[in-house]
Amino acid sequence: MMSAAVPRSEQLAGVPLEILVSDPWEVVSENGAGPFRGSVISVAASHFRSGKHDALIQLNSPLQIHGVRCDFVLATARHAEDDIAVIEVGHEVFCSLSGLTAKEVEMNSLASGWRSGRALIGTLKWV
Amino acid sequence: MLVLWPYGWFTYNQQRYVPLSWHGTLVEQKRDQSGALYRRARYADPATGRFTQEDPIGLAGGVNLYGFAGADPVNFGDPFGLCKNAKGFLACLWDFAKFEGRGFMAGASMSALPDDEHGSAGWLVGRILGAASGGAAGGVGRAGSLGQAGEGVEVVQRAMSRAELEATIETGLVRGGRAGTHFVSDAVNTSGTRARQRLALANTPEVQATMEVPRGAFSKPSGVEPANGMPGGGMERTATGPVSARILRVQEYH
Repeated sequence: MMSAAVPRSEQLAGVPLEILVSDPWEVVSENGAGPFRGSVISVAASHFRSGKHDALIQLNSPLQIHGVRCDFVLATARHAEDDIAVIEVGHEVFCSLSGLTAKEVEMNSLASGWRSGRALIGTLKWV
Repeated sequence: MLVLWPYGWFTYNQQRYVPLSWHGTLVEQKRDQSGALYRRARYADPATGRFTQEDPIGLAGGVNLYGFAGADPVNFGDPFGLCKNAKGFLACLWDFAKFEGRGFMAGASMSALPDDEHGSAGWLVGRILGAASGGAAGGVGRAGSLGQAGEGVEVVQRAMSRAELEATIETGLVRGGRAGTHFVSDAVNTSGTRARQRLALANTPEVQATMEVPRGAFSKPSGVEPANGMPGGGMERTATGPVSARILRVQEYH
């Protein structure tokens, strides 16, 4: 049982997820759609949207996005009514994602993914 | 030096309009009175290197409805105005049969065709001659009538790559039947860049496709939030699982 005293975003750390990639077409052609397994590293206030959250996810196996090895993805809910922080077991959230290298995560440069053209669109599911 | 222009002209005497080949008899000097090349299903204009009517099978034959021989007349021919092919008449017949099969099933696989319509040379030739006698309009009529709009369908749009468009046409399924969440809009921006901004797309789409899908297959519209460095603000609808689609119109983004 989750404690009410612990913020929901912190409780999500370590949660196992599956990522099913929808877009871009070429990335799916190269890697397949998945599902790709990973786990939540952290959930924090969104880089993109006030009042919403981003999840940093470490992939069990890296994705090759435009020739770059991405061990992490940053996910944010794609639709206005969704938020990554409200994901529940078995539920899915349609997300905008960006692939990140280990070095970018180490440097806390989480916007590097989409700036480098490693943006994805896909579905996260808590498994 | 004599130079052959691949669309059917000698470069030094283009003004004389003497095509290199002709499959009919109602003309003089291997051309009709307009100077166009007769290709059974439609006419090709050697001056422009294009057909003068749309491809009878519509977008199933490619995005360029008027293109001749895949824009590669050096390596390909198009004797029927139906498909490019460098492998000869039988291969072209087979290609045509596949196109026709796709049209018949309005997006389903050709394996669903009745057995007696598979591999029948008479049927294939009949389709070719039918297209010829009816001209391009006859071909369009047959293909176009197979997935007519009705109460059970609705029209949506999706901004996509050319590769995805080909897969959609090939399979008759949204996103080529790939796994994952499909997303479409009731109206996608006519500018590729704007479509990317509004829908927070991962990259700039190449075409805007208007397609017919089963009514109710997609959710109600949701607002797209800012992401991927894009402002969002557009509306999209989602679905999962195979969703049949019939491409109605394609606009290329520039």
